[in-house]
Amino acid sequence: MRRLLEIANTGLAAVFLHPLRSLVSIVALVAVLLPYLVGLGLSKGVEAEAEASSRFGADLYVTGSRFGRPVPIPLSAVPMVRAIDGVTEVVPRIVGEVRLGKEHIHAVLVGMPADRLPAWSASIEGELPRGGVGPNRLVIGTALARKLNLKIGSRLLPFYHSRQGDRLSLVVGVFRPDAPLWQANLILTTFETAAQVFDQSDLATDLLVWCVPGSQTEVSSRIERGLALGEVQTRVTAREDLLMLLPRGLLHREGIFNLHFVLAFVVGILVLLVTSGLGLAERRREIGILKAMGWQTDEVLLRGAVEGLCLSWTGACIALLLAWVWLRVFNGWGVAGFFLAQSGAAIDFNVPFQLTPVPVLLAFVLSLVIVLSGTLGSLWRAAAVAPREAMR
Amino acid sequence: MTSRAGVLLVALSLGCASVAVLVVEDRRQGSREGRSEEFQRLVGGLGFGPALDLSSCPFGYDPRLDGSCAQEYAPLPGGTCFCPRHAGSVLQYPPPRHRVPLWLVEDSDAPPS
Repeated sequence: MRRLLEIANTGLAAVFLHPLRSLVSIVALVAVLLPYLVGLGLSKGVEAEAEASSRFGADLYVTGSRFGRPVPIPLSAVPMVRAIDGVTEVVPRIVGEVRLGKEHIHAVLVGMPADRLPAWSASIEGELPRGGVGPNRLVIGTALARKLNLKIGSRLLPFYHSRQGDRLSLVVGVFRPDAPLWQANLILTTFETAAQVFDQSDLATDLLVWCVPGSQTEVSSRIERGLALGEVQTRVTAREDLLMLLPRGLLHREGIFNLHFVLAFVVGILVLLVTSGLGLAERRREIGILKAMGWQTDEVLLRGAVEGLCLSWTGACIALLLAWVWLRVFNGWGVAGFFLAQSGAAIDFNVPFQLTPVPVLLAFVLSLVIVLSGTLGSLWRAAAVAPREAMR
Repeated sequence: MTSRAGVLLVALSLGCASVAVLVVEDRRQGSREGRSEEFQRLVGGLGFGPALDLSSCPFGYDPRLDGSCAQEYAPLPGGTCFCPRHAGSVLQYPPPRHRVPLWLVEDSDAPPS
């Protein structure tokens, strides 16, 4: 055992015997693993946010449908849905698009009934919108605040035309940057204000329905069967329908992972060439001397394995630390645009990401396989010949 | 300090730093989930895809708002492949599968016309 430890010690020292080779190997490993860890971290982060969106939303979402496309649903449907057995709560909601400023910046306007909005929220800096007279009260997203140079207390000139008259708007709150990414271009206001902005007084884009646990399927079926809204048909999206999409997204990511795996092997081959070829003559002489001193082939291989383990451990750890710095400190600069459409290189909110032990472990195993397949092969060839041949 | 001790020290330091990063991120994840839950309860569940606004493809923002990509039918049939809101992202998902209402297969149970 003691001898094995001594051999392993010489493997550690071998890292510094060929510093250039070690450096190139670590750099190549980091080049392979860094985008893999960053990409997987971002992907898992967005997935977790999407899961939270489904889990903490309503049980059912009821919208109107004509020609197979979604249309608003009349508010007259609210009491009808509320009367269905198993329904505990029905909340109308307006979600629509508005354009703001001279540059016509796209924003998502969400209107929720004022009595549904709590007095205070940790995800908002400032206060929540309230109904009543005076200007429209809005809570805006971080990207919108930056693009339009708005802060709490800022006033907006009317950006819409309504039959009830145009009103000034007042920014009463701004979403915090660590709220989910969909707040970036969001404007939250009361249902009444949203109805006035879109000039649609008796319509909602969807009804949020909460049910008694276990009765969602029955309620969904009864809404689709029994809701008489004239020519407007109803479409119900259940929470389970959304949650079912997430595993399918995972399959897509597996494809991305496989693509990256191909890239990893392309770069890995370069690592293999470097670890096999760079300093090969010196390495052969070194092994010849060791063999002449009485080392066995398996001991030479153990020494090489420890060296490879050290290199791959270092490469994987550096890749993880750099991935964390890229995502946490630089907020995914440059890479988040691949995952979040139209977000650009620099992002105004905290990008969601998850760095978990499993991908890190996979990264380490991948780097170990690449380094060992490069190191052990050349070592075996050099160790298998006679010492005199190896030293020549 | 020998080269062996130096290598061991560097490897251990990197390992400790990596474990620290994983632990810190795990703890932060808890607070992020809390913030996410609060936001979603506030807006009634909003956002699912990689798009950050509704321009041209609400489906890429949230499949609850539109059951499929708006580019699918116009200006070109099959335009989903070119939709910059979600086809350009690696986070893709298919339209949600709506359950077939029973009355579609049972004529006697069809809603009154």
